[in-house]
Amino acid sequence: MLAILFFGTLSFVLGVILSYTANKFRTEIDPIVEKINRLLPQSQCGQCNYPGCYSYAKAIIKKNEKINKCTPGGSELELKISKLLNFKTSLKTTVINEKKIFYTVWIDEKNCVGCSKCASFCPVDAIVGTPGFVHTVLQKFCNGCNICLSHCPTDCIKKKIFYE
Amino acid sequence: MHKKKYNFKGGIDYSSLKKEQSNETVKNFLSFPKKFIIFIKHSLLQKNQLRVRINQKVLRGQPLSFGSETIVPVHSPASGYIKNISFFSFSENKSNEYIKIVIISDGEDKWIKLHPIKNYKKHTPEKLIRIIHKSGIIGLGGGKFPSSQKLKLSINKVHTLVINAVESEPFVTSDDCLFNNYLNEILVGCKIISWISKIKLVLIVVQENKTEIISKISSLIHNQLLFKLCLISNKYPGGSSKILIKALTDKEIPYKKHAIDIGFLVFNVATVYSIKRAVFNGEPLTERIVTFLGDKNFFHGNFWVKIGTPISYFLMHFKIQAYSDINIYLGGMLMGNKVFDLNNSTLQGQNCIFITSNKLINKKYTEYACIRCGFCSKACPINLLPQQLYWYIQSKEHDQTNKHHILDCIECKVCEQLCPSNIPLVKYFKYEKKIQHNINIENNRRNLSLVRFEKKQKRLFFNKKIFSKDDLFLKSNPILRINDFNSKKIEKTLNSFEIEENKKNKRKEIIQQAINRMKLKNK
Repeated sequence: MLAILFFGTLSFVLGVILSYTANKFRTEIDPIVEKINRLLPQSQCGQCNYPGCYSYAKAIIKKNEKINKCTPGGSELELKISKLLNFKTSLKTTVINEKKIFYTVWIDEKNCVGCSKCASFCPVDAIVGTPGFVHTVLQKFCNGCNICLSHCPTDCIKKKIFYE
Repeated sequence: MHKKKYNFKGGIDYSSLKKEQSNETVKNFLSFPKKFIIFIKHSLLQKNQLRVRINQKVLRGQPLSFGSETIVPVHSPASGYIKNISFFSFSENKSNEYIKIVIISDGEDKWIKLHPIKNYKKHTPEKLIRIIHKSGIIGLGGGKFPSSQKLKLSINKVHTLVINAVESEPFVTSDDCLFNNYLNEILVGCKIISWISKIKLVLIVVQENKTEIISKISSLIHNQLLFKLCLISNKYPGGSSKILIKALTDKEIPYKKHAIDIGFLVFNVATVYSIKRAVFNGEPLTERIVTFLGDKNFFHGNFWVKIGTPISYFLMHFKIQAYSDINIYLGGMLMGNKVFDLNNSTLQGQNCIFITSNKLINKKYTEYACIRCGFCSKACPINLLPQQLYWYIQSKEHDQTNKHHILDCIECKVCEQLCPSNIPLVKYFKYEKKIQHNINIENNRRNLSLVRFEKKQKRLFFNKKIFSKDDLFLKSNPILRINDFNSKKIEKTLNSFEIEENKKNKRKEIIQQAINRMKLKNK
């Protein structure tokens, strides 16, 4: 009799504590979305028809989007995501160990007119310059998303192979 | 006198393989060559600045480059003039570029003006560290870490000094040769280091089979409380500082930390000797002892060699002509790298040149499948699991190899020697280390671009809040809604923006009116 009373009260108190903590410290961020976001290359290029990498990761979980839409990630990323989500991938579609070439971008400074359009579109603030002056690219922070290429009016931005 | 023998796990005993270990006491002088080639590392982060130009006369011990905190200056080995300065790289990878300096000597061995310090206790330790940095001393055991920085880190942190006289390679006798000939000077060097970083115990670690040196040292140290002699068992990979401290004290150095963090300062014998030379005699580092190791056919011994002598000069001196039949390794039998360019010169870190004829090495070993016998994991001195790593590498599981600490491997090749099916394990490990390095770079770039993207988003969002007149900002922020004072403040700022915009519009109208008037006048 005593034992039933004791354990009954104990389980009741613990249940109250657990329900309180679940409400108080609720996480807004979905941990699986965050894990896929970590795997994505974070170039924010928009080639998957989503505005950024986080929204693409959200779409994979909630809208049943396909995995193979990220072009800079390639087939290696497809394998990693399928391993994380326990998908079955046929080996015909994925080619392992293709050679990766990493691009950065540089500005031909003779032709730059200082319109500062590229700087406003760069997602990682890698282009430095004020309107009316020559702009330059910080090579360390550029992630090769090529968004600035289409916005330059004088075609002075060019690709550059960083390493193979 | 009974002494305790220290032992470590794993390793191979090479003493059964009998090889002539002569020339321990004899040191021969080479007549120095006419042409010296010196390589200075040209890293992308901190560029070395040169102090000399072409056709300039230099004296022995004159510094060739400026030194920053992490890079020490390099000195010229002989007096003469500089013939050529150019860029050079050993492989096609452009990140490992070197500056190549060719010096032609004039035969006279003139020193620059030296500043010897006889009584080192009069000077402060900071000044002594600066002198050691100026004379360009780095770790001569093969580590190449600048020893001035090691001393700077060790002040008020260290309680014992460990002097490493254990050869990391079998049959190399350069450290014994130093101990035999310059024992008094090494002890003075120990006193200098212990005065700089306030150490009260010095451990001298020697291998147990070197009986002559042990009797010599114990007779000298007999009454001094500062010194203590330790013997370590005669096995192959004992030279690494991590293994030494594990054997002496049973403490393991944690991952990504140095021996200084536990309280031990480890120095090689050759560095201690060169520190004494730098402080007492004022000489910068220009020469070191190199062991010349050969087969039965060739001559072997220890020599004082100036830094920068090309290898082709050694072959000339010993009258070895058939270049095609001979393999040359820089730095020991097991861990050495094969040399293809004979103009390659001896640098500060190398303590051995190893020559074999082609016939011995060219035996054809076929690689069989791994049978999981487990000999390699028993012999590994740092408790890794080589066979498990080999399986993970073959199935390309890069997360698992990182979890099993592949980056801690010291590439001693013990596991490769014992393997019954002749698998070149270290070759696989080196390949996997490169892949791990690339993955690390990729992860760092990913994190950096994520942080910068989030910062930009935050900045854009903040700008929107102030400049747009929507009351969304006020509604979304609950604190501002409650505090009437703050909301009033922001309304004030919004009003001031409106006033400014009105002013701008008025100015524009005035200017347009003026332009219209001008056009009418011109007509």
